[in-house]
Amino acid sequence: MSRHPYEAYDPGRDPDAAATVGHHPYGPVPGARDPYAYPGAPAGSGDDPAGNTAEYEDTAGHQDTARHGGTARYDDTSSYDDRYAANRLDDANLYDADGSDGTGYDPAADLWDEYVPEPAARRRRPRPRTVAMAVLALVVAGLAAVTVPSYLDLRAARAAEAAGAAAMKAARAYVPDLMSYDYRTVDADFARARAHTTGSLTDHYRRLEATLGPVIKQRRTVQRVEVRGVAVESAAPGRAVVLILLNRTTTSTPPGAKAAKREVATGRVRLVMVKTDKSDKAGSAWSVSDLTTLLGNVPPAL
Amino acid sequence: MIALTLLVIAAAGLAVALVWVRAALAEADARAQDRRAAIRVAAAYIVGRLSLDYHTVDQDMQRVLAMSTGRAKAGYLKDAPALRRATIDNKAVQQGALRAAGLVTMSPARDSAEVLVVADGSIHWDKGKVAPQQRFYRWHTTLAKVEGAWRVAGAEQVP
Repeated sequence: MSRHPYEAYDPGRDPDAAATVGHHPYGPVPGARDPYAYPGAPAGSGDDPAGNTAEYEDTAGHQDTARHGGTARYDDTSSYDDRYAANRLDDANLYDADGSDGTGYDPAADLWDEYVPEPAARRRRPRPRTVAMAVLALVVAGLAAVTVPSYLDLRAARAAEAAGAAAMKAARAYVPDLMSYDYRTVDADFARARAHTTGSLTDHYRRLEATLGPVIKQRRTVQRVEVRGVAVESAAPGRAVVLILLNRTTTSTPPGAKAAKREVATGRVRLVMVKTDKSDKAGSAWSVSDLTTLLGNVPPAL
Repeated sequence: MIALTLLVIAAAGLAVALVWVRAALAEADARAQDRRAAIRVAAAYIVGRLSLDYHTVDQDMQRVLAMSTGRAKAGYLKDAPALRRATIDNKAVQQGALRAAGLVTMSPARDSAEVLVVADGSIHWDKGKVAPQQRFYRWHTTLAKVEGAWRVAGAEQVP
């Protein structure tokens, strides 16, 4: 694809251009007809592939380095500099601005044969700015490597604390639903209780409804639960173990009994709360995955 | 030059972020540690109160006093002589068992906290004339930091 450098460049006739027009790695330049037109060459912009990437970010989503191959760009026959030179050789100053080291390197001469590689010495000599950039890049990478894990730990710690508070609030609201029932509304009561549960506890409540439901109806039992205290035993992101102190008032009238029998009992319950993907009607994303009555029923004689 | 500037800004930004994240993480870890410590001290205090052996009653009571401060300490000291006498006279061996303990709240300054403790006690009388008794307790405790360590400042049973 050798081309005379003074020849007016026409992307329409350039065999390379067919592949680049419309998605040039540097993206379209506003206000310029020529897709390779260069809006200005900031000092040092051509020094470093990293500089290139930042400077000429590809609006079409192409990776600059993919085309120019990082440090191999001087060997790349279709590199930006070459095209730019072909178009704008009359502007000699741009080469100084583009990082010419003043050693007499003549980019125009180079362009007579685009396959001639750069002198090896030019590629091997690290420039102070390149060294500074490399060191800075290492510093940035090192800082990021230390900061990111700490940040993730911080996020987990805060999520755990937030989980404890949210689970406590949800548990306080759920316990009356989970443990209160009335023989007149027992089916709805069990359905409401089940709605707060997840996993095996849901199945447990189904079995409870089958076994306890008929007894509640037969004995005409009404149980009311009053929460007397809520505390977090442990909390992790999305999961918390909550301790509930409660008082139960149970009224029942067994068949044949003349009067209702009333019992007040103190109790303590441990709930394992888990955060689920979906939220319930009240907007809570927490569900109960386990419920333990610590030591079962506590005698009312406390 | 712009790339160099961006790298300098990125490095400075990350350095600031690192300092902030580390400080925030240290605070979050300290809070988590304080929460666990408050629960531990409250539980130990209640189990201590429920564990009195007439053979070692003085050490047992001393242990309880060492974990308390303020109102809780004063109240226990006031009841101590009668409790000591009753324990020795009845040759009582009382053993507490922790069932559960959890944090209700902790102040942002991490100098006060509330903890619920569920513990049960079994009392045996040496002479065996009275059957062993099981007792069930629910406590609401308030804690205060004294010289960097949690102490129980108040303990009431939850009715």
